[in-house]
Order: sequence, then structure tokens, then C-alpha cells
Amino acid sequence: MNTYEVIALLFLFILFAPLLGLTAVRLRRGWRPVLRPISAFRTLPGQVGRSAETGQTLHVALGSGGLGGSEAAASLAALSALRAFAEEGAATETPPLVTVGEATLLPVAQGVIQRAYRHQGAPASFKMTQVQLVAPGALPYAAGTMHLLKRGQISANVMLGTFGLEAAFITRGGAEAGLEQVAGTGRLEGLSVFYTSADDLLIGEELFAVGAYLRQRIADIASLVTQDLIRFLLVLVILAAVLVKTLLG
Amino acid sequence: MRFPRLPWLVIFTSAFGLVTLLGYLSIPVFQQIQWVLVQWVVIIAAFALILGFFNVLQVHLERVARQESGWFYSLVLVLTAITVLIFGLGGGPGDEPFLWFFRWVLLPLGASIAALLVFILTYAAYRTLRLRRQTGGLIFLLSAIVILVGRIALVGPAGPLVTWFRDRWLAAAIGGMRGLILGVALGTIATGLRLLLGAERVQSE
Repeated sequence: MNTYEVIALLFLFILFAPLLGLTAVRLRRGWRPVLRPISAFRTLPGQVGRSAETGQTLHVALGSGGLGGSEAAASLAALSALRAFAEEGAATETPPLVTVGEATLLPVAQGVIQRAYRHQGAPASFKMTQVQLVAPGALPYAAGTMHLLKRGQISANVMLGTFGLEAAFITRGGAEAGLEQVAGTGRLEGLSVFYTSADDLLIGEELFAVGAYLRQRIADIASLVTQDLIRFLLVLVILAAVLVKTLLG
Repeated sequence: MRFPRLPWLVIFTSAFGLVTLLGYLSIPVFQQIQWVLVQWVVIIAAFALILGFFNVLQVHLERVARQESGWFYSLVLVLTAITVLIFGLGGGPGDEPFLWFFRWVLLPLGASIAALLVFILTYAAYRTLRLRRQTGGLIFLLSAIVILVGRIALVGPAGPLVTWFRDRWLAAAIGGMRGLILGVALGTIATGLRLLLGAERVQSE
């Protein structure tokens, strides 16, 4: 990163931190903002319940982004959603089957599922193979996951995290198996594929709202509200800059 | 001696995150710590890969033992993984027989899968037009036509007009893409900040 990028990043951090704190305080005092309806968040909460009813397993693909690079934030958002699925799955004894395409995600995702079982008082029910590293690398991961979906015993396919064009293999596998597919990613290539092949879609920043919608914790809602506030500010700054540039040449 | 019960993982995560961030400010002390932390990440990632290797073996050996559908492919995978491991441990990563697997097995297979992507994406686009007969589907179809026709080297008076229209269309698309990227960047910053403040606890209770 060059100096300008670091300064811009630190400026956003400095702007973000107090706003986040203020919003969290307001939320603790009882303020409840109305979150805009997003179709995928109406579909996602019921997935574990449906898998329990059908005796099948919900498949959660966490993508091929790891925890050490620029895709870490998308992976963390996906893990936040996995936590919600795992807690519900452990309670109904239908934990999700999780696939990852990057090795650093494996132990963290296993930890999430294991903790969900421990909370339910059934730590012995956890199996290490509930989280599978299909293959390291985006293409082999997608090709392997496609076959996994076609083998059956899957109730629905949820894809959250880092996905590129290769996601078309996974959605193809899901379509052949007749699965309902919900997907979300921050990468434009992945979004273009999901638009054409997923039933419900989380577009860009909506992926980072997973915690606020699924788990409804104060920290997540405060973060989402702050994000929106800063977005409005940035839009105003962009509009002002365009006006100044147009009027003054 | 007993340590007090504190959320150590959260404290370590926040402290390491903050130091790494400060390392970008060209302050020598923080830069040195940042460099050491990055080296640690590389080592931990290598251990995660070893863990992943055993995970792959465990999953596929279970499949072979249960004789699940496609168990033969799992057997091939296990045998190949062990063979490559033996060659790798025996001669090191630069050894010719070890590299042979990458050059003549892994690379051609990867290229073949990538080539299949074209057909899968075309089918996905066709499926969209069948399933999404709404405004979104119409815009998708129009975009595809504008971009495809815009790439044809048209001669005569229609050529510049088509190129002009394609460029305007692309400009609108780029505007939308930048909006998306801005939203993702804000989401990334928010996640980073939650991690630094200890509000994002993926790694602990």
C-alpha cells in the first residue's frame, strides 16, 4: 500500500470507530433500526429447519478465499453465517456439511461446528469430516464440490465467501441435483455467475450484513448502520466533487 | 500460577491486528513486528495445509471403506496423493519426478477444467433467460447483445454508432461495478474494525 492509501484507510477507520460506538450505544438503549428486506435473508434462516424435516444435509460452501489475504473479510462474513447455521443445526441434530477451498479456513470452520455442538451439550457428536477441504485452489475446489452436490442427500446449497467464475461448476452441480441455491460474494466475477444461476443472491456488501440479519447481534447491526451512514457520506462527497469539477472545469 | 480468565484469543487478535495495521505507517518498530507476524502466518498456513491433506485422506478413505458411489475415484485420489507425497519427501519440491506430476498431470487437468467453464457459463446464461423473465433478465440479454455486437468489426456508417453505444453501455456498467466495489470495501473495513475491537469472534466462544 502506498502512503495515500494508508492515510485514506486510517481516515476511514477513525471515522468508523466513533460512529460504530455511538450506534452501538443507541442500540443498547433500545433503538431498533428497520433493516431493508433482502430476499436471500428471508430464505436463509429456514434452510437448516428444512434439512431437518427432510432428513438431508444443508451444504455450505465457504469458497476459496483464506483468512490471510485480501479475501479474509468475505471469509469471516461467511464464517459468521456458518455459526448461525451450526448452532441451529446442532440443536436439531442436522449440522451442515461444509466445504472449503483453502486450508486456513478448515480448522476455523471445524472450530465453529465443534463449539456449536459443545453449546448443545453434545461435543461427542462432532465429526471432523463435517468440514471438508475439497481441494486447495479455486478450480479444483469448484469441480470437486460440483460432484459432491450431485451425489445426493443434500437439501440446499448455500455459497458464501470468495467465489469467481469457477462458481459456475458448483451452481451447475446444484441445478442438476435440483437444489435451492443461495449465494453471496464480494467478487464481481462470482456475482455475474451467481446472477445467472442462483435462486437468491447477496450482492456485494450484502454479504457483510449476514451477521446483522441472521444473528441480530448489536455489534453486527451497529456495524451495518455505520456502513450505510459512511456510504451516504461518500456518495455526498462524490457528488460534490463531480459538481465542483463540472462547474469549475 | 493460574492466569485470570480473560478472552485471550480476542486480546491477541486485536493486538496483532493493530500492530500489523500500524506497520503500514512506515514506523520501523511496527514494520519489523509486522514482518515477523507475516512470517508466522506463512508457517501457520503451512500447518493448515498439512491438516487439510489429512482431512482429504480421511474423507476419501471413509468413502472407500463404506463403498459409497464413486468410491473408486476416491481410491485413485488417495493413491495419487500418497504417491506424490512419497516423491515430494524423497526428492524435494524441485525433484524432476515430483515436477512431472505437476507438469503432465495437474496442469493439463486444470486447463481441461478451465476449458469446460465456457460451456457451463453459456448454459447458465441460457438458464437465466428461461428462469428470469423479468426486467433483470431483459437487461442481461440486452447487455450480452450490445457487448457481443459491439465487438464485431462493423464496416460502413453503423460501425461508429455501434461502438459509441457500446462505450456508453460499458460506462454505465462500470459505474455500477464501482458502486459495488465501494460497498464491499466499506464492508471489509467494518469487518476489520469489528475484529480489532473484539466484536467479531469467529475464533472463540
